[in-house]
Amino acid sequence: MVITTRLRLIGVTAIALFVSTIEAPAQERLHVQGGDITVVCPLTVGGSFEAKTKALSGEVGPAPQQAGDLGGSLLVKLDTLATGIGLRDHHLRDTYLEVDRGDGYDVATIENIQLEKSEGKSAFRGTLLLHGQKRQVSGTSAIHRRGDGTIHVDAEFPLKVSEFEIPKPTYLGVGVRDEIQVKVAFNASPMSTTSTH
Amino acid sequence: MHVKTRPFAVALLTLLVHSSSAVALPTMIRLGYNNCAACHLTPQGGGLLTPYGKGIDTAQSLQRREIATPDQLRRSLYDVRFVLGASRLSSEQPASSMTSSNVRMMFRNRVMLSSHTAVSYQAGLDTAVSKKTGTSSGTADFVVSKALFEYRPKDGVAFQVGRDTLPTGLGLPDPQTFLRRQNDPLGTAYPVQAKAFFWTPRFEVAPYAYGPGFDETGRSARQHGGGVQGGVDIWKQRAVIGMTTRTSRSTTIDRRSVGAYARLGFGRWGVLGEHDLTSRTVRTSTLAPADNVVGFTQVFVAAKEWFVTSLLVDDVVTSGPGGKHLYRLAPTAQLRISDKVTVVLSTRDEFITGLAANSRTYAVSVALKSVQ
Repeated sequence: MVITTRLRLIGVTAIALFVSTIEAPAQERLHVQGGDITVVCPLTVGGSFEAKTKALSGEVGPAPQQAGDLGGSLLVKLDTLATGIGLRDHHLRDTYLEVDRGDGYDVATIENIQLEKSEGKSAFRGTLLLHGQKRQVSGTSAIHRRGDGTIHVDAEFPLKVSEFEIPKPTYLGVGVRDEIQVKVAFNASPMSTTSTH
Repeated sequence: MHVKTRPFAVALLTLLVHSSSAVALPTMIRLGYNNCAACHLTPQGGGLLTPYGKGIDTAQSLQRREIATPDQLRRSLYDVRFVLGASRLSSEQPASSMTSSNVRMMFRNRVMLSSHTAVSYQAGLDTAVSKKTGTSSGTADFVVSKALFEYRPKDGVAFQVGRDTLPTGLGLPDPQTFLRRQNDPLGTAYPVQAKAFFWTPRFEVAPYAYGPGFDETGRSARQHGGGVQGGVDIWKQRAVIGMTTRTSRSTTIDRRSVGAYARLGFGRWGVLGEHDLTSRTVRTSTLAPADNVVGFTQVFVAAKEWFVTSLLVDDVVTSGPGGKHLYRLAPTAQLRISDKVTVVLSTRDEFITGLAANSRTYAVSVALKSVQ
């Protein structure tokens, strides 16, 4: 009886310790400075082009209101998107994303992120502000924790251009399909770590 | 009209073939263009550009400009293209060294007959002058390099009948000329043919049958045959691999080819490759069949949108009587000054095993075209 009680106590303690090791890093706020954003745009005639930028920044951490949610936000400067063809960059930024309109247009923001799991592969949801419109997006993410306290995130989600009230992108008879794919890869460091740099 | 001898013409056109490189750009796979149909009127690539292709053409030029979207697609699309070339071949055998120049003028036109049918043609004058030690010669040929009727029932499907180059994995004239020079030096570059194209963002297939072009050097070089070229995109519309097969028959020679090709692009750089094994059997001879392995590889880097450098490697290994190993290295730079002017600079070192002399060719070509 005593042995059983002790075993239970050890078991409960072990589980508590194990859970705490997983949750501890998730309680910290994480700083993001740079990453790889790739927007894959399929063309109506076949083929596709990619718009890329590294101008990702932001902070994320546990949301105070609800367990499992991430507070903070990730921001992408849209005037840095590049497709490999200068004239196309100009059309993308000025004609379609209208970055010159300022707030809500020059930066895309994702916030209210909800993760199914804080490590490994899982689904996520979030609110994307793009072209002055806020819409829910959902996709998949893979989170890998590293020994130095940083985490690496790969995430991917589709979005429909029309839902964000972006004019239908066409050029001389060739268009971009309505559904495009956004791929995000970045490293995030605990705020305490980044503040020492 | 032939002013002088044909061998010189063959040599000159081979030397100056770089000048035609500007007409097809499979290098665009680096930006996700995994087939030719987005930018070219014909799914085989090369030749006239679609309105979108014209837009990309100017967008990737040093001097770019905005093109307005036409209210409606013009029924007739055309351009006039001039290619001016000059080259200097230095050989280990001084008597083979040669200086040459070439002017080619082409008119290219496509006329829509209905919403699904069209005719297209490409014809022009090809003149060349060369100087060797103590001799000088020139040629002037009228060439019809394309005369096609096309039926396109829907997007991704096209049927064509007429005179044209045969479909290849890369769609580049350079490797096609090199391959033909090795396997079929007396044949035509523009056989009469019937072919079909089926393409999606993922697949491309082009079966074809062909007959003589009637500009072969002799009746015995006229041939009939058929083949198929097919490829699949295996990575993000930036990696296409495929295979080709071809069989042909003339009164004297049977040929069978099988090949593989790849078009790979990674943003600013990429690799194009096509390799073929051809077996030739001379029906009137008891000699063993001869096999040719012919390869073309191009590594390219787009330092700027308008400035693409390449290293081209041709390689041919021939077995049987008169077997040889030949390879060529050609660093090339292509500068697209505007949508009307392209300049290509190159050198080409040719190495041949055995007693044949190695050589180096310096070439420059300027391509000018009108833009409708």
